[in-house]
Amino acid sequence: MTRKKWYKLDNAAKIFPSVSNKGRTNVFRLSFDMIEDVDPLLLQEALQIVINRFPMLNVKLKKGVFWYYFETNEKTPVIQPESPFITRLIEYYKDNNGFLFRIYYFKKRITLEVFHSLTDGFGGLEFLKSIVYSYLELKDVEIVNNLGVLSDKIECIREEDQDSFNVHYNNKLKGSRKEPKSLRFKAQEYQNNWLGLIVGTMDAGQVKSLAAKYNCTITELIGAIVFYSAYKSRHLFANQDRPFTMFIPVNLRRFFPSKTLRNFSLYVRTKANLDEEQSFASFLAIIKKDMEDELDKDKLQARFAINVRSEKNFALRIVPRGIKEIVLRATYNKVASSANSFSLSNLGVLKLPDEMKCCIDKVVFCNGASYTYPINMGVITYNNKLTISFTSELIDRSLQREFFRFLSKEGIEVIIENNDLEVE
Amino acid sequence: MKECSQCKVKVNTPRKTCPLCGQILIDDSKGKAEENLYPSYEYPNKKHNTAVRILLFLSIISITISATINILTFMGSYWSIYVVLGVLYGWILLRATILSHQNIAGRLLLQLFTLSIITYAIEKLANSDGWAMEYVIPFLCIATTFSIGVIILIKPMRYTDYVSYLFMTIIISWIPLIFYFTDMIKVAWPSVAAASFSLTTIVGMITFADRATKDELKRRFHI
Repeated sequence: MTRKKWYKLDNAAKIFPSVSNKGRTNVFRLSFDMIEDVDPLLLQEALQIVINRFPMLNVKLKKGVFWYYFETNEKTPVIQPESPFITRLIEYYKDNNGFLFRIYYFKKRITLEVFHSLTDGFGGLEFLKSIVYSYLELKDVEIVNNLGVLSDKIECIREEDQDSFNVHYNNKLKGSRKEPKSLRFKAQEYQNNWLGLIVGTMDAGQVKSLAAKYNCTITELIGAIVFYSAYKSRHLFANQDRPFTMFIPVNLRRFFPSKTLRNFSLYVRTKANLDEEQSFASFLAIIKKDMEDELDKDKLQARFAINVRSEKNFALRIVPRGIKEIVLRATYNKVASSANSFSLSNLGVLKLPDEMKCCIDKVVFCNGASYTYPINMGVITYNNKLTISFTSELIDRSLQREFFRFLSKEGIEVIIENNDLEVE
Repeated sequence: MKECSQCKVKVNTPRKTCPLCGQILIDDSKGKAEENLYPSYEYPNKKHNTAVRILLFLSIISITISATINILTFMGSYWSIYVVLGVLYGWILLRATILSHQNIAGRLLLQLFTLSIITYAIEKLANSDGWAMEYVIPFLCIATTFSIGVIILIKPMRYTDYVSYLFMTIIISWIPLIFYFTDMIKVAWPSVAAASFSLTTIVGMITFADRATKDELKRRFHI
């Protein structure tokens, strides 16, 4: 009998198993729209080839006495026809042979949905890239892999399953966890925790020149438009005296040398008051200033040092898991659920070898929404196509409407598509 | 592709109205229908489990009736609590044990916990002299250790799934003996029997344990 491989959950992953449920799934979604219809048999074969290349994803969640942990899953992951309901809860012990991700196929689309404990957007993208690479190879597409897409021909390296939070932990740094409360959405929701999805596809070059016109980055531009759209749809909010707080995940691999395929991202926050007289320019000034202040290596390191420190606290470690979960859930409900109003996640520019480019039309990234954050946004650029996706629990679409109307008013051609959840 | 005159966006959908504002879309595709980009959905039929509902209703009624009679004819004993405990145990037996998907060793451990607590509660309620702690709980521990041990011998392939439950049962088996030494119970032999049985089992485990057992315990108990 070979020895089973096992992993502790990384620092960011520890919270998710305790706080996930049907209305707050902590699942994100990446999909590749291919040029041709997807062949499920080849896709299944590709998945089975690739899963061995990603041992840190080839796991099931197990309950220990003190912590959850991952253990190598000896079963086979199976692809499924796409569900009409996006980012549904991944039930750790029942779904998909215990795997914490799903691969869907639907017409021309290959979709990956991942439970956030497993990895972050970067790791998920690497995994899906690799699956599509293998899939295309099985379809006899000759690919010159000059951009280092991880495939079964490239060996695993030790650093890929590292908990980089721990590696880059500096115990001298101090920080505060205190966060002011933020504006909450309050509007009618879809039934059964369904999520509405609206994707806008546009020309990345046009958006880039618009950002250049306002002298900001694309994330700042999109963030400022979100502020402006929220300002225009203030009827969606409950307590208007609080600031609208945007949660922007940051890939820490940009700041710290790390090759990990597990979670290694943090966030910055930017907030603006919607109850004062505001304009697009003032919102843009706010977000530019916040990004400049917060996107700083030392500040980020201090922020995750707090979390790593509590994980290392011996008194906390020896508390049985059941009690830990109750405490974590209570803290999360109290602190995290009121700290942010909206989450904007930009995965940046995805580069693929030319031969793959010919087979893939566009890529969409969805950042699953929940009752804590009813509207979330995911952005990704590929092949000069920028896709912005809104996932929303709310039936009201005024924020999305204001957002895309702003873009089209600025002369950007937007193509909208949506999953067809309608009010009935 | 269709276009919305209000939002000034193109819309790639078989729908007639704009997904953003509900405006009727202008269609310049000349009859060429767009494809559905997402799977269509149906409203789920909520399954009402009638049997469970009837059982739940009967449980509530039996508790209410016995509580009512207990209060109206109060003679100094709260006997209706026995009914509550019985109903509660029935539910745990049915839902969390017989119908549960958890592995069998975990279910046995759950039964050990539940039965210990319920017999202890009945003993206290009846003001009797320690039969639960003295006899029932030690023998439950022996029975659980024995059953999990037998299951492991029968299904050695799933050894690693069961071993940590066996380990926990063994630890629990020592608790009655601690009660004996702190003078909470008077009869020694069942507690001593439980402790020595668990000691035998653990010695057996260590003697015959392989790499896999040690690894499994390390994983389950990592702090």
